[in-house]
Amino acid sequence: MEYVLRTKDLTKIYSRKAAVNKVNLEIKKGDIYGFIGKNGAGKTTTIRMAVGLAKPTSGEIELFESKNLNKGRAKVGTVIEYPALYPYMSARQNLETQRLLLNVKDKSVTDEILEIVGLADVGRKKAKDFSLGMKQRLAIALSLIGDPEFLFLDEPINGLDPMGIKEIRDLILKLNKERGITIMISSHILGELVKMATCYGVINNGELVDQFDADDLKNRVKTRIRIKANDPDGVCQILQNEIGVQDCTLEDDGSVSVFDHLDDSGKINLALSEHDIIVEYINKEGGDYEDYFIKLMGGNKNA
Amino acid sequence: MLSVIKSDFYKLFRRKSFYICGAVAGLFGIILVVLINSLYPDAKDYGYNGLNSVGAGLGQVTLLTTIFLSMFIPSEFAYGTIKNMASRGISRVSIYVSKLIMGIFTAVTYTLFTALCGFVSGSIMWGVGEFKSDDFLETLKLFGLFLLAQICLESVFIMVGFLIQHTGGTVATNLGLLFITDILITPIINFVIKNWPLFGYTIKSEEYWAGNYVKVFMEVSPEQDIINRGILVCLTYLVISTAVGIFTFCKRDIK
Repeated sequence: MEYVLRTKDLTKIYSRKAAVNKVNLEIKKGDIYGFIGKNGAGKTTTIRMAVGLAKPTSGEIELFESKNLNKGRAKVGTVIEYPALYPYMSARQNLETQRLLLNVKDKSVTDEILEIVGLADVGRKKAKDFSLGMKQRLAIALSLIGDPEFLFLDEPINGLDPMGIKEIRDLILKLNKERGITIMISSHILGELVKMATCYGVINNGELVDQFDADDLKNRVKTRIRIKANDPDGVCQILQNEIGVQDCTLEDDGSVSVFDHLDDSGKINLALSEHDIIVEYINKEGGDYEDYFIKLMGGNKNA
Repeated sequence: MLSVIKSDFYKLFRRKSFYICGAVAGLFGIILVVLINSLYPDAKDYGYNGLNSVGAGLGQVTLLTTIFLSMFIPSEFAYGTIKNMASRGISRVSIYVSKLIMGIFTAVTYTLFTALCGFVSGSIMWGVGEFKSDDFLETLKLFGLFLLAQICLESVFIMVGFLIQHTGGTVATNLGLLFITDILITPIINFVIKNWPLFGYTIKSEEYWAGNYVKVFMEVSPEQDIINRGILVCLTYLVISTAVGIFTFCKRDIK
């Protein structure tokens, strides 16, 4: 398995407070990695350390499985916090500065990238006159110069209208599928992230709470009937025999999750009480990605 | 490194303010010649001509170079575009040195353009003048020294731009340094050193300020020991400000 980014105990301390605390990230090649956390959770600081804009207080970073970060960063594109553009230049001129900077010989690359991001027709219009969506697309275009293998996109859909969000989402999916670019994307818009990401990392108060892939997430948020009873080991057997439950799991916390017969909670309760099982709690849960992420991020709705 | 310089030149030539500040510097050269001509109608008889008008307006070149660089350098931080450079594996030393080269290029361009404007307007008013190789060499020497002092002074202002990283703050600090050092800071230092019981001796602190030599090297035939000291002071400013600028830029996080 090839990793494009790995961090080991990555830590950044500002004024004695850990903005990022011993974060161990693992991003595999080809993934779209959704990086989720509240405001101030440490997402941007982590990305800034990975791309060399901030120095870690401690810990290690590996890019493309190498500790030669300058070499690795040459294969990385970034959009961090807001679109960083020269407002007095056109889209093509902005790209030209980056092409010269990265010593890309092929001049046609600017037109090709403008085509990819849908800005081929803006002509001489200055970047300062662009809409926010256009600026975001131009910033992504800048990050694509030099044929990067890995993109860091920090809040690329912030402040966009639904149309703009869809455009950026389609662009990200296109870059990942057609160009095979690995993408790390941080966003507050969890619903959008779920439509794109293949892997997730959740950060809260500077600590990486969890990392999982999209299939794992599906299982975690799958709608279920959760039961807390005095004899959890016997619950699945009883439900299987009595009402034909097929998908029943004993969870780590001692509760039981039933993934089928979701509309039969009354029957389940009755079947269990007939077998002298005392049910403390029975409830239909799951199905909401947002609720799940918010729970992971510490329960605050300010995601 | 070369690619960073190419990219910076591309940006420089697309900044309107680069041309505006340059044009204003040239205009000063022309205005001073016109002013002399209107104040002294018989200026030609006093020896005024195109060749010795190259220095007209040079005094303002420092001001306009400072204004331009104080806007150009921190703008990379204000637009956030410095992140596009530093996050792509470009070394921070290259980024700094490239900006220093932009500063040197700007100072040289403005100086040559202003001198050209002075020469052309002086030649139109009073004729080109007689070419004497000794005078020419002396003028060339002072011109080179003026440029050296100018470049060394601008290296300080570039360092300030990298330290402050905000356009307003950089413009204010640099113009403050340019104007206040001579009239306030050096006299205060001289006064304190003379009157402080621990020191009690006299110094001329202005002799250790690079900005002082921008003016000194515009004078006709300064003494050789002044020239020597000037070169040493200016080069010290260039080396120290560049070292401090690079060191802090490499150490600090980019926001």
